[in-house]
Amino acid sequence: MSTENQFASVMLSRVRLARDYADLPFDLTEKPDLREVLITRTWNAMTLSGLKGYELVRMGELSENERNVLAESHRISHQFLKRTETGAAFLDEKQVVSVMMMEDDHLRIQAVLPGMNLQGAAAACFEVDDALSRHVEFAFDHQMGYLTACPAHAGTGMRASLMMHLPMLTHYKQMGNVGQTVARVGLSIRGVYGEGTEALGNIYMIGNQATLGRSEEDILSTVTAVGRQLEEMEQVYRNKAMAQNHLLVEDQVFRALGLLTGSRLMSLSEFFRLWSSLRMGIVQGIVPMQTDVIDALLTQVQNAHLRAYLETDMDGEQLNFYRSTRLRQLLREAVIRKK
Amino acid sequence: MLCEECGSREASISISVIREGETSVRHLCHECAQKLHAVSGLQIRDILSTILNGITVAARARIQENGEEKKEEEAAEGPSPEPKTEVMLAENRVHVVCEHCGMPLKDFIRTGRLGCPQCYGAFREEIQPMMQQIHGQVQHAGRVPLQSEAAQRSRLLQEQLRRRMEQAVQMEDFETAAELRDQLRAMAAREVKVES
Repeated sequence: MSTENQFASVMLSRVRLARDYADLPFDLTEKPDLREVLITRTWNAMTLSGLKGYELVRMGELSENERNVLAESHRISHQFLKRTETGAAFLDEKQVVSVMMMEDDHLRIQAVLPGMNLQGAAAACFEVDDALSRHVEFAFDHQMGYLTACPAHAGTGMRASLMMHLPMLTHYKQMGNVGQTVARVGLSIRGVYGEGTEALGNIYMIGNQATLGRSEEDILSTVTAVGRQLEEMEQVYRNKAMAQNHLLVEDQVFRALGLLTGSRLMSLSEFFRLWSSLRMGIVQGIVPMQTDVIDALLTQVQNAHLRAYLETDMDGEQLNFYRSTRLRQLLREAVIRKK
Repeated sequence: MLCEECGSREASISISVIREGETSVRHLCHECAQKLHAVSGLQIRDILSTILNGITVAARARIQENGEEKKEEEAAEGPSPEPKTEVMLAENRVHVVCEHCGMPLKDFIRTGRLGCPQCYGAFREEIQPMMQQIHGQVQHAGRVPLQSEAAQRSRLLQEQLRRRMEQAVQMEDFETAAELRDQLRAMAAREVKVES
C-alpha cells in the first residue's frame, strides 16, 4: 500500500486555537468600538510581524451565500456563521489559515490541511500565534494557561480534529463503541453533516475535548494515534465486507457512481449517501479515482457552492437539478483526468 | 444495543457522564438523547452549569419537562442558552461579583461564560474544581505567550540587577550602583514603550 493511501479515511486535519486579549471583556457583541480596537490591534500585530497574504473579511459585508460558501469550505466555523453582524476574519490567500474574530473568543486561529497532517495545521496556527503574541498581550495565567470566555477551552485553548470518512464502522454499527473508547482518552467524535446524531455521508469529526493540563504535542499525538487506529479499524471492516460478499460491495459502489452521474434531481441527503459509497469504492480500489477529487466534490456540490458557481439564487428542485448537472460534469472531468 | 432510556429503539449515541471523577457511559437512541438534552450539539455551557450545580439528575428531570416543545428550535439553533437552573452557592459566595467587569458569579454559573479574563481570579474558588472535572487537570502544561516568556526573562534580569545594585550600595561602590540603576531605568522605560 502506498504511503499516500495510508490514511485514506482521513479527509482533513484541523487545528483551532482560542485566544483572548488580556485587557478586553470577552463578549463584544454590544461594544462596536472595542470590536474595532480588536480588529485594528490584530491587523497591526500581524503586519508588524510580517505575516502576509491575509485579507480582512467582515461577515456583515458578505451575502448570506458568500458566508455559507466559507463555511462549506471549512474556512470559518458554523458558530462563526451566526456572527452575521459582528464577525470579522483574516483569511489567508493559501486557504489554510483563518483568524476568526468575535467567534466565542476574541480570536480563533484555525488551520485546515487535507489528509492526515495535524502537525502541519498546528505549525500554521502557532506561526500566527507567535507572531501575534510578540506584539499583543493575550490573557494568560501560569496555572490555567490561556484564559478563554468559556473555561472549557482554557489551558492550551487548542482543539485538534480529524475529519474522517468511516462508512464501514458505521455500517457494522461500531460508532457507539468508538465514541465510548475515544471518550476514555479525552476525545469526542460527532457527525459533521446533518443534525443531532445523524452523520450524513458517514463523515465524522474526531478531536480532543480537554484543553488544560496536557501539552499541545500531547494532544496532537493522541488525536493522531486515535485517527490511525480508526483508520485501521475501518480497513478491517472494509476487508470483512469484501470477504463476505465482494459483489454486493461492488454493486453498491457502481450503483452509486451510476446514480451520481446519471440522475437529474439529486437531493443533498441522497448525494451524501451515494458519495459515501463511491468514496469507499475509490479507497478500496474498485473505482480508479483520486480521493482528493472525491473529497473536493463534497464541497463543490453543496448548496452555497452551487449557487455561487451558477451565480443564481435557486432552491428546491432547481437546485437538485443543477447538482445533478454539476456532478456529471465534475465526475466526467475526474475520469478524463485519470486517463 | 437498545437504548437504556426507552429500551425500545436502537442506541445510536453514547454519552460519557463524569461525576465526582467517576466516568459512566450511557447508550441512548437519538430521540431519548435529544429528550435528555444530551445531543451531540449540546453546548458546553449547559454541561458546565450542570456540573457546577451538581444536580445532573434534577437538571435532567427539568430538561425533560421543558424539553419537549423546545426540541424543534434547538435542533435548528442549538440548545436554548438559559436552562432554568437553581444556583446552589455557599451563602458567602452568592453575591460575589468580578470587580473588573461587574459580572456576577451567579451569571457565570447560569451561562458558563465569563465576563473578562479577571473573572478567573474572582471566581477561582468555583472555577478550579470545575476545571478538574472538565479537564481532569488544573495545571497548564502547554505553550506560553512569547511576550510572557520575554517578560519573565526580563523580570529575572531586573531582579538580578537590583540585587547587584543593593550589594554595590552596601559596599559603597556608588559608581557601579549608579550604572546598574541606569540599566534598570532603561529597562523599565523600554517596557513602558512596548506597552504603549
